[in-house]
Amino acid sequence: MFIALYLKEWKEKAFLFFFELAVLVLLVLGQSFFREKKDVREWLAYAVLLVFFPFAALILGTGGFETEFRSGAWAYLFSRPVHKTSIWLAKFVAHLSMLAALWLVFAAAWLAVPGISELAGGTQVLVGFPIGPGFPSWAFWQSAFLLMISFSLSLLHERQFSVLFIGVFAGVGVAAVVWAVLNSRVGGHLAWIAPEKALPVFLVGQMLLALAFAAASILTLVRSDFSQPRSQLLGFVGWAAPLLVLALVGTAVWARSSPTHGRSHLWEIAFTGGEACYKTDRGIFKYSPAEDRIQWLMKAGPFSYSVVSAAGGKVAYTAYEVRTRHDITEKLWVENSDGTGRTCIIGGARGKNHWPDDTFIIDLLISPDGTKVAILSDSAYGGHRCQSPPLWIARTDGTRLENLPDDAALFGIPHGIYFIRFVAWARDGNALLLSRRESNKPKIFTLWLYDLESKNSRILFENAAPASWFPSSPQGNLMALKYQATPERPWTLGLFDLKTVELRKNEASIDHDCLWAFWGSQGDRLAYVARRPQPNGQDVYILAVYSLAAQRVVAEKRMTTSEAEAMLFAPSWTADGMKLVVIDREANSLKILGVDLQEEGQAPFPAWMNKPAGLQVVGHQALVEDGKNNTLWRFDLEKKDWKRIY
Amino acid sequence: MSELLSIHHLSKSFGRRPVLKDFDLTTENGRVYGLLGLNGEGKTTLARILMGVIPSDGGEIRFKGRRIGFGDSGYKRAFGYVPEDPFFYEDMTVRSLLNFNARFYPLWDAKKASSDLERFAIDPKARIRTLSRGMKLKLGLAVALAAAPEFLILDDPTSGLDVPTRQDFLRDVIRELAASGTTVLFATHLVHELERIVERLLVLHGGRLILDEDFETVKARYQASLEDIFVSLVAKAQGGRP
Amino acid sequence: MIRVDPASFVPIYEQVKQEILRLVATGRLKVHDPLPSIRDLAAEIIINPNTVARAYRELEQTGLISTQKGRGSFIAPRAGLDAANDRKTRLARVMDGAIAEARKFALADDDILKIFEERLSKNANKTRGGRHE
Repeated sequence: MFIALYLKEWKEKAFLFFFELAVLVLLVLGQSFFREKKDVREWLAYAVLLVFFPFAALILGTGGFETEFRSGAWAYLFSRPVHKTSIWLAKFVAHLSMLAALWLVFAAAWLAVPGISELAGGTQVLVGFPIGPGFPSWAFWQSAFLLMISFSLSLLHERQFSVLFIGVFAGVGVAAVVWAVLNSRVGGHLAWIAPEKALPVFLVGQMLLALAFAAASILTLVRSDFSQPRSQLLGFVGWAAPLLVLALVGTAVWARSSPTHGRSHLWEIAFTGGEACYKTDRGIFKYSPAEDRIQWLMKAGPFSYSVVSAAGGKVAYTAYEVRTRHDITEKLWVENSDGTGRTCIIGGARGKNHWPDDTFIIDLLISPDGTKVAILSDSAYGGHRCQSPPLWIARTDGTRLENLPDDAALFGIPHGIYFIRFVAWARDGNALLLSRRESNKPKIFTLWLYDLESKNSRILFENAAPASWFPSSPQGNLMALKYQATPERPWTLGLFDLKTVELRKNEASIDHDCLWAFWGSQGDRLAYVARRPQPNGQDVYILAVYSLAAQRVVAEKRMTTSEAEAMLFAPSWTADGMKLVVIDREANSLKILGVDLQEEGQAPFPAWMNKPAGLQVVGHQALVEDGKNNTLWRFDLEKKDWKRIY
Repeated sequence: MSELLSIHHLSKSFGRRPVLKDFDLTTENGRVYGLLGLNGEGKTTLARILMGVIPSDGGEIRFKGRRIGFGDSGYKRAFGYVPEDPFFYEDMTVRSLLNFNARFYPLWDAKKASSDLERFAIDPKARIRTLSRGMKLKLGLAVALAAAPEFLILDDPTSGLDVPTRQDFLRDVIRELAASGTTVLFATHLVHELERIVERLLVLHGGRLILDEDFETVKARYQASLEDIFVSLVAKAQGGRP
Repeated sequence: MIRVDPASFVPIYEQVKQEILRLVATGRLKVHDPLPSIRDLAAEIIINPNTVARAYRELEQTGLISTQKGRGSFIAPRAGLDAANDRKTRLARVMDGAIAEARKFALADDDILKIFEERLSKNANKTRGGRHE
């Protein structure tokens, strides 16, 4: 039955099919005919992909029910013992196979005739958007889409070309609207669709749209009276409208919930003492334990790389204002950690603070008291360092933006070989510590001091390594530092006094073989992970607590023999300083330990969590990052429940 | 006598114009039902609804006890349909039309179909477009009968054709009746043909049946020709309205 | 041979019966002659086969035709008799009418008989061996 219907379609459309095939063959033969003229060949290839196939699909589709309209044969077909759904499907499959046959011919030409692939394959740019797999796949998808839409509409009107023209105009109109929106300011604010996702979202949207039209068409055929065109059209609209809404909603849901591949790291970068800020490629958000949800500080646009710093009750971050794709300005914002007092320091009303054009911010650091912010611009690497030196200081209320003089010793380095970052404020706000590292040895840095009064710099330490994500103690007076006494020796953990800018005498060597350290929120103790070699040759990794008050290690606990696991413990102190929360992947749970590291509780990870890494305790919530899925979970230490918050 | 097709409260409107209103009919196996009605009264609409070509606005239709609706297609295997206007695919050849139909009907008798074609002198290779109206009619009947239907719907197929063609058509229907006892619903406004073969008379007016009786009873009562009976019934029905 | 008038008030099956009897009465159909099958007769005169079937059935019930399975229907002997009786009855009726007419003219019986014989010999040449419908 289905086959009979299918073959009937082929017989009816044979003439049209062979006509289209002939046109295609002519266009393809033109490739070898104009062997010499590359531009003509390129034009021909594009003509096939971008003009021929869409129109071929449209013409095939709009003729879907043409023979039934002619001579009233629809009454004949509907009076046969066959489901109308089968009729629709058989027709559609037949038309689709005609299109597929044309594509096969093109594919054969692609393989056989040299030169077509180099013209139209590879990544192309279509009206400003990159098409990853190249024009052929794009044209293939679009032609199938157009076929489905025009076929679905073809049962509504017997005049084939009316449907064709209406369809073309509607399609072009919609595409133009979408393109204008995406290129406008509104489009720039659709930042929650990451750029890598724009194309997949568009394609998913198209697919759902086509399915909605097809479903509406089938429902109309199965429910409506073919002899009354007006009521059939109304019926179709009645089915199509909710289905289209559903398609749009589905697209939005997919855009929201599907994982973003690519540069979507969760970087915990700031801790204002009450909230934690995370930077992702979608933007910067902070987690508010009071409201138990995340709040976006800033949504990333398609071309952004943002920086954020938080300290002393204030948060500073950069944001990009996108007017059009070629008119982007960077702004520096400062706000209080509770979200109030948002001020624009750089990039705001013109003339308020002079910031040179084409200069972007690569690092920020707020002083521990929250009154000042240090800014590092990209001229640290660039040639125009002399016009605008990279180091700036501003007050967090937006005043006194000052460009500090250049320092050739610190900044005079070849482009791209070194990285420079802020480490800490020192000397009660009169000096800045910066790290400089070579790109091929990212784990070791040289510690530099830039004196804000004398405005010059010197090296404090060579062969140092970061001991923590937040090396400074909460009070801002000490810094945990790892260094090698001599090269090849293990890393020694020491405390660095930020007032005197030197290692503390008694605490220069807390542990000989430290991996990572974490400050307690009161600043009176330090938890760290260290390695202990065993007599049998195997290494054991321990968790230890150093008390500044007692000036000694007060607790030690053997944790694991795996270095990889040890690196991921990420112990974090609760706000009251009484408990230490640790990621124990071997036990697949969070471990809650007391001050002397005895186990007080544990919380198994939820099943969805793939690769727990990165832990920060905020209030009585423990925030755990999932490194594989790029999600953020929070565990409530009191209520003992998990919730995914990002 | 078993009930074959039963229709209850069938209604259909086109826009605001009601064509069928509370239409009831029950048919028994093996009889010839003649449906008389003026043009535009709803004969074709009824036929199309029964054949699932257009949906009804309300009401229930049962075939052999089972409810059939617009979306059902299985029951159509037992139905044959010859409509007023030929409605074939004009570009098909006769043979491909038969082959096309053969796929849908499990009881398709290809030999019978081709012998009917011979008898009607229709060239299997001819395109349907080239056939005369009368030949299309015969082809339509041949296609309908080749499927060995239990219920045959003839929707005024012979109007506009000359007498010999009409007689030929009727003869073929009669042969089929004699051979297989098919139930026939013959809708028409041509009373003369109906008079010869109808067993149960149905008169359609105002969207429903104003008469549903055995023909002989009616004739005995009225003592008039069918044409006169029809005219007086319609006049009475129209006169009854304000 | 058999003609029916659908427009007539007489039911068609009744007309068919009467036609068959007329054929027997006029000698067109003799005893043991086969009748056309229901199908053929219905197709020939274009009427519903059920109508033909009913006519045959009723004729069989009154013994005027007999149906044998597989061989069809035939005129039964009784039909011939009936037909003969029928002829006599018809003729008697005609004669009654003529006699009534004659009596109106106050003719004696002998005179009526003489006129009858005269007319009979006058018409003898015309009707001998002829078929009349």
